[in-house]
Amino acid sequence: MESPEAEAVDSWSLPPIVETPPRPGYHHPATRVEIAEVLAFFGEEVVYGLRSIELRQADPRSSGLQLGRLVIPGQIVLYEQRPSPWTLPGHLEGDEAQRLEIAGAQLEPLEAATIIEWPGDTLKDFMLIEVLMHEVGHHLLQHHKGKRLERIARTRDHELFADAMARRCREVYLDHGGSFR
Amino acid sequence: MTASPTLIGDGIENAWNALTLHHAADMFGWGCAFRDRKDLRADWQRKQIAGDPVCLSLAEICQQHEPIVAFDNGDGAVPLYGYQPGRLDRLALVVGNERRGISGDLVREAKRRVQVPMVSRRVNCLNVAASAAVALFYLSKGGGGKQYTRVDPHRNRPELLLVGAGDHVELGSTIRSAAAFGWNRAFVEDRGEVWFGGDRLAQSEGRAAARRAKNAIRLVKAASDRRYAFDEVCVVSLTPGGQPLTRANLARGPRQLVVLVDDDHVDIDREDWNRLARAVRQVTIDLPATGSDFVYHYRLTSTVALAEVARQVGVRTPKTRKRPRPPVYDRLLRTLLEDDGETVYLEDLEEY
Repeated sequence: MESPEAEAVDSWSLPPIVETPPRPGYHHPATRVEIAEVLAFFGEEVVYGLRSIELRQADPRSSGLQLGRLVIPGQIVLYEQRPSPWTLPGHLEGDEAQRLEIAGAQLEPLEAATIIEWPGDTLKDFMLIEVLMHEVGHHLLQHHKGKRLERIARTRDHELFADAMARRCREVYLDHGGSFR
Repeated sequence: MTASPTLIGDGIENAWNALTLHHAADMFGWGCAFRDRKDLRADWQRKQIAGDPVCLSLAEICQQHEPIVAFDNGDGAVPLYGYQPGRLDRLALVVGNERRGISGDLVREAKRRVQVPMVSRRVNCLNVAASAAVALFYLSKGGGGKQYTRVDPHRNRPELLLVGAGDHVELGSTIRSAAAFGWNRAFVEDRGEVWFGGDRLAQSEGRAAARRAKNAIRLVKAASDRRYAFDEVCVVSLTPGGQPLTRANLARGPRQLVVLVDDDHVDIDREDWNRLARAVRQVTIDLPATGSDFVYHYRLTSTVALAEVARQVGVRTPKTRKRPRPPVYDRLLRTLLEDDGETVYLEDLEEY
């Protein structure tokens, strides 16, 4: 017999969640099942208009460490990551360090590098909230403002909205005892 | 008649440049001669340089060499990358005056004009001897691969670290080459203290301001024991045993660090390169065996390496009509590498 949550989800559909195997030395911190749980937790409103969630390999030529991406319309990508700890060249820009610490990361800045330790399940939760739900925020703003295949707000405003979405999701997650079940 | 290819300097003014051209030719087992239009012999003697430059007239150059290949960026010049020179035994590669290039009468005698693609065609980008070394490297190999074309070549450009230069002229010329090939930042381990500090910076900035110079490169001073966290470091030198330069993948983007060492002042086997990256790869600038006895110049080997990296990084694919791509929103973790250093301008490096 299905759970009430599963029955509720059956009345609306989750988007397909497609996984590309990670490269050697990398992994997908959040599994397809865990992603489905988060989307089901936050409900139909965040899923509406989403076409797919994809777990992909990262591009090593990227100018920064790739976490996630929204491709309009409605395609969200989460990228593979190295296991903790991460060692990144240079220091984090802006308030990024603060955001990671709020998500539970432990940072150790060195002279020309930064070590980021993710204890326990913090990396998985970071990918689910600060990355996936951040991209969902971009999607919601874009989708509910007319579904056009072009930017409907300045990038700065788009990012503020997506950040606010991720922050709110983390509050709900913590209020729910740190679980999506 | 000559039985080996020859590097010919046409109208070279500065005898030190001429001497370095000679050394460049020696690296590759080529002969070297000059067409003296600017009192080179007199400058050679004034500077008390040993020996005499071999000087040829235009008629002698044409009689003794076939084909004549003009190396400059004039109209009709084809890219050096991918140029197949054919037989080398009587070939003459001509490089021109430091400011004015090759004279018109010699250009007209040339069968082919070749150039190395640069950041700017308006600026005299490479030191003449350094550019000659690039040409000699590829021609001695019988050509080489064509330059890559990419949608966004900047994404493939590695970071650069210059290590151990013992002379500010050699280092300045190397920096000039890096700027000319499109880098806007280089890390410098100034172990010999030949660059940072002193009056040179103030004078340079003053001149650059006066000329409204563009084409800047940021030089970041790096300590010799500094630890970095790149994914891969490629240590490029003449030390044998590494992957040949043209076979190594040197366009892996900003998570890759290419290190150019001064072989006269750095023993790569005694260095801890693991402090720079997760993975270390040794890369060898492979010279022909015939060029084994020569005077080493950091600027020559480093410019050859930079030219090969630039070839692999590539140029932007020509714009074609394409479907508009949907916008994307990326969640990236961006880091800032240290930026404490000085900015110099390509236009102001012409003295090197």
